[in-house]
Amino acid sequence: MNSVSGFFAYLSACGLENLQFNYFAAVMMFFIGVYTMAASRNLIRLLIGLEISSKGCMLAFIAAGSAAGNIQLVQALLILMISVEAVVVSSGLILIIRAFRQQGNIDPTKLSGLKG
Amino acid sequence: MIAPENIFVIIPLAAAIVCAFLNKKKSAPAILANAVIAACLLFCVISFFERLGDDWFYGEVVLSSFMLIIIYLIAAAVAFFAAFAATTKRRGSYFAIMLVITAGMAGVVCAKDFFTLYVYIEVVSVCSYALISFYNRPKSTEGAMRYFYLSSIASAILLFSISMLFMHTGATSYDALVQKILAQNDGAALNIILAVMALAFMIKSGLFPFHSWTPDAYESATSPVSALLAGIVTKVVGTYALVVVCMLLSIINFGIENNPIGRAVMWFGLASIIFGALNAQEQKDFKRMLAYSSISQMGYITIAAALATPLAMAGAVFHMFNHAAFKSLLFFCAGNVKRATGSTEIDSMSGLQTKMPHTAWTATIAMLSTAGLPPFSGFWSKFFIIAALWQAGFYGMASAALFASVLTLAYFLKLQRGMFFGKPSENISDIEEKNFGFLTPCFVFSFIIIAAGLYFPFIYDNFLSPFIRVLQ
Repeated sequence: MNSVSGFFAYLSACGLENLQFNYFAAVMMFFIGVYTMAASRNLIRLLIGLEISSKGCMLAFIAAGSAAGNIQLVQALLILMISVEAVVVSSGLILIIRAFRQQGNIDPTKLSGLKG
Repeated sequence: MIAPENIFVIIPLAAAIVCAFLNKKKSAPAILANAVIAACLLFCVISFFERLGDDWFYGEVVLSSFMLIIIYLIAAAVAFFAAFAATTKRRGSYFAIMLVITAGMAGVVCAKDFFTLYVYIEVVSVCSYALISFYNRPKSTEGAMRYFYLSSIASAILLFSISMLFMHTGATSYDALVQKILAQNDGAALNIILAVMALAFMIKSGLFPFHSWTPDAYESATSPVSALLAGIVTKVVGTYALVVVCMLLSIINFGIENNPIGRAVMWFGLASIIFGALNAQEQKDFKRMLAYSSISQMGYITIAAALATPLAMAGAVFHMFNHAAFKSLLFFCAGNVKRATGSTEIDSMSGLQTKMPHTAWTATIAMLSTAGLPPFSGFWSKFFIIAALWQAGFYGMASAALFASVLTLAYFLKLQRGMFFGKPSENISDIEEKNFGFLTPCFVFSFIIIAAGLYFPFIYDNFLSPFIRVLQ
């Protein structure tokens, strides 16, 4: 507990407490997503990892907007980003459903129609 | 008042909406898509030549106008080929997706802002997954899946670098970045941001360490879709954006002397030139060999773009055009072979030129142009790239690029000898080529390759010298 409050004291001493903490959280979220993708052997979990990474990017955008003092523009960009994400995720889920219907499993290491 | 570039995005999108309702009709969607794309091609060629003499027509603007011409040229050929080759019952949906992907690519090259670039790149990517897996075969689902995951990771990385750019400059447009560069306060941060961006675009264009999706996606898609993907999609979403990033990098660092990120990208380019050429030697499938050849040619474009001298930039842009022409032609030839014989395995047939002479000679022209033999257009761009490398003092890289060009000739001659020339095998005794629609795009691209090679001064004066005017 002491070390955490010390960390915050350090950040506020730098004068950048919000930016640094927000951006740190966004980067952590991005890499949690990357770790999920690297560690799982299931296409759905891979997609979840991808989504966590994308949400990390959105947080990074918000942090950047509040640091640059232009939060209105970021709000507009975020709405566009969320709609683009919805399209991408639905197309990914369609591919996963097709793979399951055609081959009967969703393990990326067992999909081996293409080699060489 | 709509700016002229927006028309090239809006018209195909409007046509796609109409096309999507024509699923019951047999030939209406194909006619509509072909007419719209051909009209746009005509319009963008005319507007390019109209604006040629203007004072503000240089650098970035010429690049996007030139890319528009390439996009519509390849899209017109692919739509024409697909009108004959598509066997689906949902032709309305097929051509609607093709129109949307064309509009998306036009949007990518017209974008003046990194966030707009991201949105259009996602449009193009989603349409590519749909087109690759259109026929619902297990192989193509898997190819699309691999493309989906790697491309989405690249998009996430791109988005993160855009957020860093936003934090640093307060906006996401190219102009804001250039203003920041001119104000000269922090070169190091911009270098890091552009390095992350270059990483994302290298994944998208399928360079060496990130190439694993390329052969799968190209092999598993049908031939018109492979021609579209290899010919123009990866070039627009990956290499064009990489060229823009490399131009910005060279502006930040004032040339090549202290441009660490540019040097690093050059090494990636060199690695994929050699890796692609060596791996193509041992492929057993025509389309897979073409995919590895694509990786190798992308390396040439990248190495020249990252060098960013005027000569190298001209070489990179012209090689982009050439690669679009000859790789689409080769994928059309692969489609013709697949349609006639039912397979693209190199060992399973030989002597195809006795039965399919037109496919054989057009493929030979494309292969010789890829290898960079003098009468064809591929010679000039490779010559520019290697000369620019030598001029800038990268003697080792220039020699390696020249050597890899010989390797290109080696694997294509092997393919040509095994598949088209030689003694005809028994299993091809009853095949024939007769359909005019399948051969017309091949003839057109052969003509373009030979004409651009022979009349190179015309190409240089009209397309390349206005582009490099600002860089000198």
